[in-house]
Amino acid sequence: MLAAFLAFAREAGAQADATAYAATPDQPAEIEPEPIDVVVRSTPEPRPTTRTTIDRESGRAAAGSEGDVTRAMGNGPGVARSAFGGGELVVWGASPEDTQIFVDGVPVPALYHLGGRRGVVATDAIESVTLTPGAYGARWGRGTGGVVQVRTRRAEPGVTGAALTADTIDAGAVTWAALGDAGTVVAAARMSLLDRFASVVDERSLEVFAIPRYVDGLATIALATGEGETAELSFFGAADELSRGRDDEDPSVRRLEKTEAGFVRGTLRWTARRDDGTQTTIAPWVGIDRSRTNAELGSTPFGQSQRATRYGVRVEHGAPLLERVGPLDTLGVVAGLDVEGRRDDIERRGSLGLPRREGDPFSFGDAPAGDVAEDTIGLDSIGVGAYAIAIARLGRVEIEAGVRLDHDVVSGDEVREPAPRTAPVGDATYEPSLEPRGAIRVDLGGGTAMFAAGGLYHQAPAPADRSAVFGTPRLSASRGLTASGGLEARPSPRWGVEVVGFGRYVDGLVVRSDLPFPAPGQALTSTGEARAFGTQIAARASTSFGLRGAVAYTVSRSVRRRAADAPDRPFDGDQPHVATILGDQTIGPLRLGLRFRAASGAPRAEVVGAYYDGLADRYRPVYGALGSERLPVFVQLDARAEVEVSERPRGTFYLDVQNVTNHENVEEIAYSYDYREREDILGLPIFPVIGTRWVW
Amino acid sequence: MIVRRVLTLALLAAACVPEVGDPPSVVARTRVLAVRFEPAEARPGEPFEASALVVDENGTIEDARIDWAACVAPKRLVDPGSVTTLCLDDVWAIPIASGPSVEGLVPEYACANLGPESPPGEFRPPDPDRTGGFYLPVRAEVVDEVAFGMLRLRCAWANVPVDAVRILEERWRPNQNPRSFALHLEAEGDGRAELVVRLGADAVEDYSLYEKVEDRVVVRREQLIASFYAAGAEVTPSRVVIDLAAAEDGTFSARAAARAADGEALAAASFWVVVRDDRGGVAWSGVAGAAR
Repeated sequence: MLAAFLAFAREAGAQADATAYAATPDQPAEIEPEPIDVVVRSTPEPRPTTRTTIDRESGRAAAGSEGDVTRAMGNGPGVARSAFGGGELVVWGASPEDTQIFVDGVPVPALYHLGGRRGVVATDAIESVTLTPGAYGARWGRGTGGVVQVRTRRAEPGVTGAALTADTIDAGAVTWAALGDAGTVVAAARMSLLDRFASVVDERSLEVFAIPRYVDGLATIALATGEGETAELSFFGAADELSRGRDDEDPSVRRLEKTEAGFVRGTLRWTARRDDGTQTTIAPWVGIDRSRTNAELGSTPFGQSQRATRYGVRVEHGAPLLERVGPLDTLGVVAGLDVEGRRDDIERRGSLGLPRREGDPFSFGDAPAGDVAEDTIGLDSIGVGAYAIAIARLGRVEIEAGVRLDHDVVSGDEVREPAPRTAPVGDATYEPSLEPRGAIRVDLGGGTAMFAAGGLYHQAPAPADRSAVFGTPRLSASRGLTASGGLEARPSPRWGVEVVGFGRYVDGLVVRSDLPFPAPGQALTSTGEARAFGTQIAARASTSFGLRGAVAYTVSRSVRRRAADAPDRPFDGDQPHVATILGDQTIGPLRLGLRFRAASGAPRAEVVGAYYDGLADRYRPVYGALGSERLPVFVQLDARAEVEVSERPRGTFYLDVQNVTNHENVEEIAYSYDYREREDILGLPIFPVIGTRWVW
Repeated sequence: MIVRRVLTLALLAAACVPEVGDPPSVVARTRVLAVRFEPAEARPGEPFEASALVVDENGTIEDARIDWAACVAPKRLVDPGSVTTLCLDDVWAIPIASGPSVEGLVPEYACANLGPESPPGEFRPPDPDRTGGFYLPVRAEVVDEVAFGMLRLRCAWANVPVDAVRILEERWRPNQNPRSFALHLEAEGDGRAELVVRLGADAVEDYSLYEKVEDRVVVRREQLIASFYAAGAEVTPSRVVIDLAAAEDGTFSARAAARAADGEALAAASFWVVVRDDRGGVAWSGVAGAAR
């Protein structure tokens, strides 16, 4: 029992001394056991004050998530409803690209497969998913948004098993096994099935309902290399293909878009945990990202391909430093080095207006202007981040103080648009960033606590924005300040509630130059600003008879502006109100779940007029102010039923139905050819996913 | 298989883009269907004549009062569409005249504001279209319709090696509006007919273009698109790319199906075809349903 407690304490990153009471079996129960002091020295572990963690089984069972734990993350507070067919993660008013995705600590380019229906790691290969929407500690950097950490599955020593899952979206298998006494292996593979049904879909539906085609896989070998030492070798990756649009003999309305994307990663993580509570981790990784988009929009071609060779290493050492010194109960320190580099080769051809940037007004089916430019660039960038975090506990107060010093170097092969037959002139930029981060948590007793956190953050521009033709080679990083604070009450394991207020300010955002004649190589500027603030409430409760429920509500405002002297406008992903109610009940072998979601509609620029473009032979919309109208409120009820049909192997069948009430949600607005008439584009009607899962 | 049936039903009912309003081929109000310039390509300072095909539900409006203006406001990177919205404002437009067709001059600084000859200093010129063209927007306003015709500008060759400039200069021929074509209505009965546009071999031109990636001058053939319109009837498709490879005796053709309520309605209908090349050249022809 004591061993179990110690194991639990270590696993949970407990930092305080613990006094346990042990009773031997032969002692009479009425005799007060003799107290013994047990000092648990475990590695200090920074803990974000606000985060949402969903384990594999909870996420799988959540109604509306279609059995995917990463999609269940959208049920949490602070997360905006992703656009139809997009799967973009907007947290606390940050753009999707500002939120970093890590799989076992290794950055990956996307959390979801194209189309957003499934995560890039199969649910059966995931242990848990944690979203920290902001104000995180110094361990993480290079992003002004949130952090998503996907922890992949690890096999328990001596346990062998497999899981097979197949539904109408995809099918996959995961297996885990012991490698002798000292190791385990986990392997997973999955492929999409939905694309097999693409031929039955009406072409007009495929304009908005893109059917993804994908595969993904993972293999992890974990070995105990010594006393308290483990080494984990991991490979994972995903490949996607998605086509959408409308082929038409009328070239002005033809919209064909094909995107291919994928990534692979290989990582080796060595961890040594010592009895004195120190922990050292060394985790090098390498990988390749690739993406290619080709589109024909009206008569304007667009093509962009990007290949990035990425590598990095994280070295971290944590140690408890002091115990019971003055008012200090414990003091621990975590220090580390976080190195990340990449080589990007990017080719792009098409209008400067594509791809669309956040803040560009648009309407469904609109075609870009006919201007065509092209560019090929190569970029090498490396960032070296050093961080140190001190974690102190003083009675009921826990303080985390950290600092992160980043050195970012970017070397590009063009500083301005290269003239024909001339050698490109490249240059390199160096930007240091010193970012303090901090958090405090006060235990008020009775399961309640107050907390606050904040810090400075920075984020380098996207590599493609450094094109001398389409962007600006010498863009500087955006810089942000995020702060949050709140109150949580968990008086009982059966229920809890948390209220968090948050604010985020970012400047130096990359936006289009609004000059009629920008200087060469300065199509983009780092003058944009973003502000987001709001409050989120999350509550959960469970009963002894198997009924569980959770509520999440976020009220927020997210605005942006082109420059300090420009007017505010709503952020594209601004959703002032997002509410989710989840509930499920287990009755014998049957598990029933419901999810209700309501969210403000996305802001749009109202079409206030149109003119005829004689060259393109089509009407062009004239837009009002950004955010001058919003799509209607989104309301949807989803349901899930799962029945266990076999105990050994454990076999279940499930039915996950989205939009069971067939509510007509407006996802976009379609216009007539001359923009004088408009109609709503509705989202999915009732959409069932039927599947089965077998575990051996 | 049950799963397949369920999913098929779901996908069949999936989100769908509604067809909003009439197709562009249906003329039910006063519209500018095309703007044509003669010549179809001009240098700064050169004269041009602009005319427009203005129609309504009753047919062609021959004497439409069109207010013409040229716009030399450069298009900003933040402007969606093909012209800056400043061109909708009178402040930025240079009035030409009013009338069905007018004569004007290409502003001297058109290639500086709208083309590759950016003003002295460090300025990023606009990008050409895929044919290498830059255009002067000429605004035509009639009733509540605003249309922009795009006059192709003959500007200096920018960002092109000297030897390629020499080749381009030698090969350059001013763009022409599509010529030698005729529109016929071939009746099929029950209010149905076929619109046939036939073009002579000289309707399409070849042109030279410097390809930056290949670092050489290439010869390309124009793309021709026929747009069909009807008042009092429907035509499908609204537009079609003319297949230049399918030449019959040196001519090209494009076809569209016309349909009216009955033969009488077809006879009362009006039909137009506008043929455009992808370098800004425009020509049109009309035919009355009674002329079949």
